[in-house]
Amino acid sequence: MPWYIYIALRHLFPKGKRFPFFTAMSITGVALGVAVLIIVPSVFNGFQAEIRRNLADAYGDLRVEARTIINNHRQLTETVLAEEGVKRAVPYAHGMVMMQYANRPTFPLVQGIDVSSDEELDTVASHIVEGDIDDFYDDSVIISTGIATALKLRVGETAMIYNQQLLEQLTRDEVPLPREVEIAAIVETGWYEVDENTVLCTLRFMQELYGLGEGVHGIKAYVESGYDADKVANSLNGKLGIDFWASSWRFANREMLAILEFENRMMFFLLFIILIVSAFSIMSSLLISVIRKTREIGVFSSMGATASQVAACFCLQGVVIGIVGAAFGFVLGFSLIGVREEITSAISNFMGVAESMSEFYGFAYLPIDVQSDDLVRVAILAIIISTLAGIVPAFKAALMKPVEALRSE
Amino acid sequence: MSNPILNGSGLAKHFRSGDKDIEVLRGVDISLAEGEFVSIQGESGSGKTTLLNLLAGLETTDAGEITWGEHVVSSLKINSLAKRRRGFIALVFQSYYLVPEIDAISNVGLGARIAKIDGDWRSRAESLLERVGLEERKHSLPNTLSGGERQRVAIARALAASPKVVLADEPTGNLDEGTGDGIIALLKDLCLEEKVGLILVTHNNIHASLADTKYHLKDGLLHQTS
Ligand SMILES: Nc1ncnc2c1ncn2[C@@H]1O[C@H](COP(=O)(O)OP(=O)(O)OP(=O)(O)O)[C@@H](O)[C@H]1O
Ligand SMILES: [Mg+2]
Repeated sequence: MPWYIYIALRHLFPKGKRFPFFTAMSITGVALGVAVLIIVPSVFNGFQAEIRRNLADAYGDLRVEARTIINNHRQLTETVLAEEGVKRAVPYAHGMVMMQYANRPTFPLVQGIDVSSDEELDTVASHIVEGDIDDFYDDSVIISTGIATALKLRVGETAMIYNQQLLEQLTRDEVPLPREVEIAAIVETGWYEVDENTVLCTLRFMQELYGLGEGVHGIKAYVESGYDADKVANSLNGKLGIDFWASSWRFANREMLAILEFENRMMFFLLFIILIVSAFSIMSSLLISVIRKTREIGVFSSMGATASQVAACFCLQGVVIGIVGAAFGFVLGFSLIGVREEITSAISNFMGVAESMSEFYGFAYLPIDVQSDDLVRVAILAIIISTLAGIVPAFKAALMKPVEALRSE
Repeated sequence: MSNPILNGSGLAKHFRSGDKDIEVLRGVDISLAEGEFVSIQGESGSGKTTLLNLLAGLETTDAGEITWGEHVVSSLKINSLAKRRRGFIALVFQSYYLVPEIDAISNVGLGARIAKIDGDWRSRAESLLERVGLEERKHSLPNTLSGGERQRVAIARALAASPKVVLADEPTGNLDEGTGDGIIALLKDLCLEEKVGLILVTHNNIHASLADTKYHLKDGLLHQTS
């Protein structure tokens, strides 16, 4: 080992010395910065991945819509299915109704599900918390937990549904008769917007409620993994003609996604400042070390050390602080991520906000998404910044005149 | 006498302090033969340390010429001298200047490592520590050693670099008389054994009188004394 590396290490970790205070402080600074840069983006990414997943789940990978009601949906579905990369396509219809139970009204969004598609039924079934998908037929509906709570509705009970056609009947002085529906099941997706206010019925029932006849509002399509929903939608748009248009979930939610992306960048930039702050603490402690060791530096030069060796000795200390700090930061970061449930529940209990998380964010647990290229980026940044922090003291040491260094008190 | 290994002629040096010029050296001639022992005495402030710094190439001269072996070095830049110092000149200081973070043997080894001396620095350091009588303390840190012991480590460190010349600036200045006598005897013997030239700056008449050649620095000039 060259002597200057040896001295650099011994300066940082003196032999037989108690606690290397300056070193510990510098390393702690970097470690904290790195830990924060690991934890915060991971939590952010986790939230965002969850939001994206929910957006895509609710929307389907892409949708084909038209200005009017689509009557020839079988043919359109065939066209969509024929597109390369499309895994399945189902018609849908949606709209708002009034639902009433024991004089309590609510205004849910109703989604018509194509019950001829097993995949659609499976997706619904996977979210059922009470009841059975087998009880789902044309005169029954599936409600979300939010509605079940609001109306105090149970599986097997019967509610009333008032649709817009009843209003038209009223204007013609006819007596409106609401539809009676039985609750087949209750679903929960974990996605607040959906769970709050959704009713699922069969597509046929929805067509009846809305007087669509055989018509639907659109085609929901899912792409095979490996295919990009945007590209498939684009290519479909070339074939559908001007009456129809396809848009991916990403396009439909582009404002939301752009905000998420922007948030991500801003957050990384702001957190990056933490690393810069720790760089200054490294720099000042290394500068103090250079000043404390002025005479030692003079002795090294008198023994034949070149200016660049002296510089390397101090610059390396920055590098080592960066590497060790980053390593500790990784350990700290991942440990905290590991006990995140305990931390969040402790915070919730302390502040009494246990419920609010699912209300504001739409899911009840803390999702984490650690991205490996983020980790690499953080590690490299930490080491580069610590090295830069070592360069200033290194120059100061290298530019010292040997006699003056020796004469200093 | 053989060719001088270190030579300085007509060396002059002044310092500016405020708006006053201090003429410290005004034409000093000095030469050191291989293995020779030279002592320099002089009042405090007479310029002894300054002269050693010039000879060691740590400071530039105003006038005059310095040669190391065959090479004229006084015209070279201070920074380019660092490598030439390796294996040629080693210094011993009044306040030892050991590296506090590393033990005795590593301090000695540092002399060999910086000077890039061939061979295993550890065994070289070990034998030198043995030679200065500190083999028992090789793993002690400097702050657990006495002043005399520290200076012996510093002497071993200087010799570990296999120099041709050792420049010692009041190496016993911080030590009591008995310890100082021991240090000077050790330094002299070691330099003799290794055929290393020694320039010793000292205030002690007895130590000075052990030298082959004795000088006195006064009014910026070096006078030989008997
Ligand atoms: N860098 C400097 N700037 C200004 N004056 C200096 C400088 N270096 C040395 N001097 C002056 O030069 C003179 C000689 O100093 P030097 O250290 O060589 O004396 P010395 O003989 O070694 O004294 P001592 O026996 O006390 O060590 C002193 O007057 C000192 O003040
Ligand atoms: Mg002096």
